Amino acid sequence: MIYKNWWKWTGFILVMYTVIAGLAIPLGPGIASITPASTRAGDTVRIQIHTVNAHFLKHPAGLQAGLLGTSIAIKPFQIRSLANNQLEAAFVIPSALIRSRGTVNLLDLEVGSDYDGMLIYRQSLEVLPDTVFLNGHKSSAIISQAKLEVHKVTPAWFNFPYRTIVYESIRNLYFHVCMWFAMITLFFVSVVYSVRYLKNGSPKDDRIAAESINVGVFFGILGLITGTIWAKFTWGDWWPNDAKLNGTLISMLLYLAYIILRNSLEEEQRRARISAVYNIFAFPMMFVLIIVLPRLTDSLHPGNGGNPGFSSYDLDSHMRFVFYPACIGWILIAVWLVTLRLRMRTIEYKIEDEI
Amino acid sequence: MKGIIGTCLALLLAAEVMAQDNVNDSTGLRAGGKIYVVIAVIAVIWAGFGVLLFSMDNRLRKIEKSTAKKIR
Repeated sequence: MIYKNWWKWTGFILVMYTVIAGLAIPLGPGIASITPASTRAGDTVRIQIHTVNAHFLKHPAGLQAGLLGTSIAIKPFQIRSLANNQLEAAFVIPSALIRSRGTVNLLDLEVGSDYDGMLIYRQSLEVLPDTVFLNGHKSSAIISQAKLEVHKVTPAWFNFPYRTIVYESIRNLYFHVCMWFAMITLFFVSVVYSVRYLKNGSPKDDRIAAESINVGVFFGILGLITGTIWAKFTWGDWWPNDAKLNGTLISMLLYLAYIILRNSLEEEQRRARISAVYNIFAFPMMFVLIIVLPRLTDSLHPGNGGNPGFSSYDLDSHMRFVFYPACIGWILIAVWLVTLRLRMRTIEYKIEDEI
Repeated sequence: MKGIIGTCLALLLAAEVMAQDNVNDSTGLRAGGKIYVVIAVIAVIWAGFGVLLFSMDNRLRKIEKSTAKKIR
């Protein structure tokens, strides 16, 4: 005999795992800033590189750096780690880098070690023209036409991606996005039971459809609020008029209309039938608004504007280790809430019948 | 006399506490920018939710048993 509530415990444990792993697993290393950020062609410059989440002092094996431009790579004549997150690299910037008086060159800085992988800070070093304009002279030594030898691109330790703009808030993936997955799952369950009701006429199916939407709307509202907060601090705006945001808002209105529709009809059978038919129309509309339309246009949301969000371009493989269990866990919790509400309703109806 | 000794002790303790300035040198729950404190807090919150959900579950089960009529 299978323990009846196993799935509830699974959901609870999976969400607990999501909270712990989702917050404890560190972000990957990245370059925060460099000083100086500007230099002149022909100068020897000692660049202080400030990184985050790196281990350059503890694991200095394979430490290397390079300044990259179009078809040019400059290697440092000296590089050393001052602390886990501070490096000093000394470069000779060739005078011939700047070919004409008016141009400014922006070089990428790449830094790496065997343990931390390769970190890149694009267009970080501004190279101003030499005070004396040299006509096509190649200065001494350190120009290399080859790219840097890359031993390991990714860190040797498990980490979530370090991305500018999002930084630590990338962990919201396990909470904000899971709200939407739970909502869509519940709405799908709801429409299945609406169809079943229209076929069988069993009031239980109607109740399941209704409560699934009630809890689904709750998760949707949570998703909207959490998404708004996240958007303000990453996209810069509470509501950036993005296709997906507008689509989800309209879908929430559709399902709120379902709830209002149910509340406005008194007679049980009529209420059940009309709301079932409405649900069958609402679900494809929601699907189109949230999932289809945003992919056809430009969107701030990852995974839209062309490709689905599950590809390796949109979701780092390390994050999947927590994201998939998180989705399952949150969906199980959502279903649990639906069953709790159903049981409450059933008892209410039974008590009403007895009166 | 006691006041002077007490003050000296307090100052010594204060000096020791100031060694915890650097976030990265911290150990235990204070390590990693105190993210583990955040995890502990949220884990407690979620455990509380778990208690709430399971207790709601059990109370409903008791009520269902006591009404003891089967639904269609």
